[in-house]
Amino acid sequence: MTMKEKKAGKQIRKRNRQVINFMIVISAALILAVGFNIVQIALKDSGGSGTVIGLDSASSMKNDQYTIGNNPTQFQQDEFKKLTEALNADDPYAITEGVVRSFIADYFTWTNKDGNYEVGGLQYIYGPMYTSFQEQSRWEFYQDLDLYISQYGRENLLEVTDITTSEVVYAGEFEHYSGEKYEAYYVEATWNYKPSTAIDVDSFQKTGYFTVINNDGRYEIAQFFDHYD
Amino acid sequence: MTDKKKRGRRNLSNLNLILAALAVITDILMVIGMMSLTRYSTLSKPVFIAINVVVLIVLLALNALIAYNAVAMRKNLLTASGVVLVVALVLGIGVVYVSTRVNSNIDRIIDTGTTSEKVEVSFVVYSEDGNYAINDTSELDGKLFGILSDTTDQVGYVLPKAELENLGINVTYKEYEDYNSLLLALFSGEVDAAALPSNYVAMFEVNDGYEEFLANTKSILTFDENITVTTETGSDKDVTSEPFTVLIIGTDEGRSDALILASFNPISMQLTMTSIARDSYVPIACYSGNSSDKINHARTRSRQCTIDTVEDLMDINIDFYFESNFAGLVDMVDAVGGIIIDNPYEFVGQESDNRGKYTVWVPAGVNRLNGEQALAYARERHLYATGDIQRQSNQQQVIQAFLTEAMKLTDVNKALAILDAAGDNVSTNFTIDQLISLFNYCTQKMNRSYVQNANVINIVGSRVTGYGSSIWNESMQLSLYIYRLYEGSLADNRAAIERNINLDSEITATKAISFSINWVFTAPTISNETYSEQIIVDETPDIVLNFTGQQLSEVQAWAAQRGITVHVNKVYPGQEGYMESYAENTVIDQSVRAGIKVSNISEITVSVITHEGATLNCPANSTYDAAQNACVCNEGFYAKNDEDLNPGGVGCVANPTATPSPSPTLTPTPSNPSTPTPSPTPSDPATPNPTPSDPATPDPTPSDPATPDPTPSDPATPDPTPSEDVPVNDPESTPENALPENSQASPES
Repeated sequence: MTMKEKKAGKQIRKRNRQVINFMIVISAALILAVGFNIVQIALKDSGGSGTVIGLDSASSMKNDQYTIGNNPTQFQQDEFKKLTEALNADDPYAITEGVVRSFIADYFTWTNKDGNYEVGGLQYIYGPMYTSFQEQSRWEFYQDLDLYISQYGRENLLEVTDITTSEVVYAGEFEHYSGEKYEAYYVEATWNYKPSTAIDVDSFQKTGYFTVINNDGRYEIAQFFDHYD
Repeated sequence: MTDKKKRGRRNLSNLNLILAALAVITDILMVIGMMSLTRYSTLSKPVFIAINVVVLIVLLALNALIAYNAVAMRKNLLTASGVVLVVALVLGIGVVYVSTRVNSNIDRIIDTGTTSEKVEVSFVVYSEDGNYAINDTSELDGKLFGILSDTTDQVGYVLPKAELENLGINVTYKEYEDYNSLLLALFSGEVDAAALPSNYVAMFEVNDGYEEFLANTKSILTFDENITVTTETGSDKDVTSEPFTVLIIGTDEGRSDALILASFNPISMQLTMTSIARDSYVPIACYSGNSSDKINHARTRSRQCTIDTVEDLMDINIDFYFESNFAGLVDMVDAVGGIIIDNPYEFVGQESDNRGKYTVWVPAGVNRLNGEQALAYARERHLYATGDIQRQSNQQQVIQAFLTEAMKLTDVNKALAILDAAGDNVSTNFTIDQLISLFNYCTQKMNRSYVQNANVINIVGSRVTGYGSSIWNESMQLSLYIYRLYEGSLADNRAAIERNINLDSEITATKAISFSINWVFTAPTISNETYSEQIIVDETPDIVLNFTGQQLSEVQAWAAQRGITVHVNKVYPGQEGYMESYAENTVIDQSVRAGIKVSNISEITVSVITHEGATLNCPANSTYDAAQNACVCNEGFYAKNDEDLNPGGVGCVANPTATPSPSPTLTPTPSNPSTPTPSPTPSDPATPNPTPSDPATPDPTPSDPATPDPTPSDPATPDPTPSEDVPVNDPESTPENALPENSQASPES
């Protein structure tokens, strides 16, 4: 090996060492820069403190006809189980009672509602009219839910704790204005709310007179009134 | 070691050096890209952090590979490193490109208080007969020059003064409150020239009667300048927990032709949208003494002037604004792939960038409309008896449909396309963090629903109602249409917005509910159509109407009632202005322009179409019948089809039975049959003449929404309580414009 060759080999090794050192320095700078960026992201103000009730998927339940999932209370879950049993038994009277009880447990409970837009129990309402009922609710019973939440706190609002229903009776045919006729069942219900120190829960509706129809095998509420005329 | 091997090592070393350089470039590009995207990290912090970590690991591995290559000197490894590096480099370039594109658009959209805008100023002169006394700026010396009185207004005051000073021209300035007054002063000769925005023609041609005057103006100088525009910064509210208000401004040629004051409550998810008619005659905040003008003229002064004017009018603090021009709407709707609109009537609207050209077909029914169609739908008013009222409702419908599509957006390319469209045309003073947190918040709400892409936003539309009126300008003999607002409507809309944004409001909701599927629920309206309050009656004299398109007999009847002599100038076939398709005696021109006070004239000459002497190039065995304006078969001949009588048709053939039968007549074909023109479209789009609304027609809106009765009504007996007589709201439908029904014809001279 000549001196020239030795010198060339030395130069290559030197250059390679330089490349290694350079890459180490660059990598260190890279770690610093990206690390800084990650810290910046972590510390960044998320920009919104508005709360959205997280979904508790563990409490979700479903049967052949209905589903509950938006953070149902224990009472709602219990009522839903009864409804599922009634569906399994294929007893129209028990299903009617189950539908009404599940509706009341959901619709008149506000402690698990995210806001006015989240009207409970819609799935138990006659299918073609549920959006109309949703809109009506937003303008009536649910109209000031935002004010209740902000002024009294969600946890202090309505929560149905027990329901008493009368004997379900067959009500003959119920005629929709479209001309469609359905088998109908009638039931009366009264219910109570969890006591609240913030609002007078007893001033809210606690009675309902329900008509449930068999809409092609699916039992749905056709009408209900808060008073009996 | 052989020479070949030595050369090989040297080459590998050199190659590794090149790869090292590439690695450094890749590292830098990736870091720049990621850092510039960090401003959007609130979209999902965990995802952004994960991306940063993954990219860091990949880049470190690449760097280590390069370093290892320096030791191992293996050709295969170097090749593999090279391939990976090139991919990473391309990725790095891509990240930088996307982040730069996104940031550039966002920076243009987000208004941080001061923005630089290019403005154009024109020095305008007027001449009634086309013989301009001033044709060049040098001739302005010693003349009376009209400018705005607002010493801070760049276009109307600062720039023209500076330009005239630069040119060394001495003029006497005369100051005016607003551009409309300035323009009228120019028309009436109060000033010799005026400084106006360069788009002054498009800006003011929508005013009735202005077109003819504007056609007689000339710009003797147009120059542009970059100016700093200041708009108040947006509120620092937490938009996910505090209700807020937004003024949505739709601009066209510098005017705010769509104004919607929206309020959003993040707990109820209720969005109220209150439309304010563009012709609303209200005190303008930036005019001295808050003198009144059409509200859409406020935007010609500044965006802040519009915001302040609406704040004063509604007595509501506006937290944010969102402004888009018409081109922005077209591009953004196209970017989301169109919007779903339920359009009751088919019509042909005008193009966004070609005023007066009606080629945009909007089909009836539920359809996905593209950008041009959506804009045409949002602008259309002539089609509806309620004119601007229906247009305001349609504008809200377009916004709602766009929001629905935007909330479903998952395609990155579509999102980038929206940003590109918005970058040039949209401006807002929301911060990017506020917009992202609001988007995240709404997405979370949607995800709570069983229904995919459920519309969780409860939109409540309304408008400030009022009545049409006119203001008379004596010097110009011009009647300016205005819309006066009901104080009651302002109060009701204000109350609805206050309720939506004030979480301390009194709780009034019913505590019980009843429901039946045999009821039809109708949401209460926020504002009544009419209010029992004192109506301001603007004194408007009896004025000459626009008779174009009307029948001579109608003109004569109108004139007879007023003792005006009508001279008739017949336009024969072949003469200038003759229209083959027009009916006999259709007016095509008038000697006295529309808007002139009737008491100032004693006679009027109208040019009418006559088909006398027309031959229409009738085909064989047929002759022209002026009365029918069509070819008819000669006696003893008949046409097998109507088309046979068209010019160029086969004509009529001898009747074998020799019994004359009624001859089919020819209906003249439109001059441009390829362009669909549905009947509701005005025959002359440049000067549309909408059908006046029928005040007797009951309005299905409940008459007293101030005390809403949300109890569902029985569908068998629907309860669309008719409102009181609704004042005519259409600009061209002032009482003076209605022709008398039982009028007598005046003698034709």
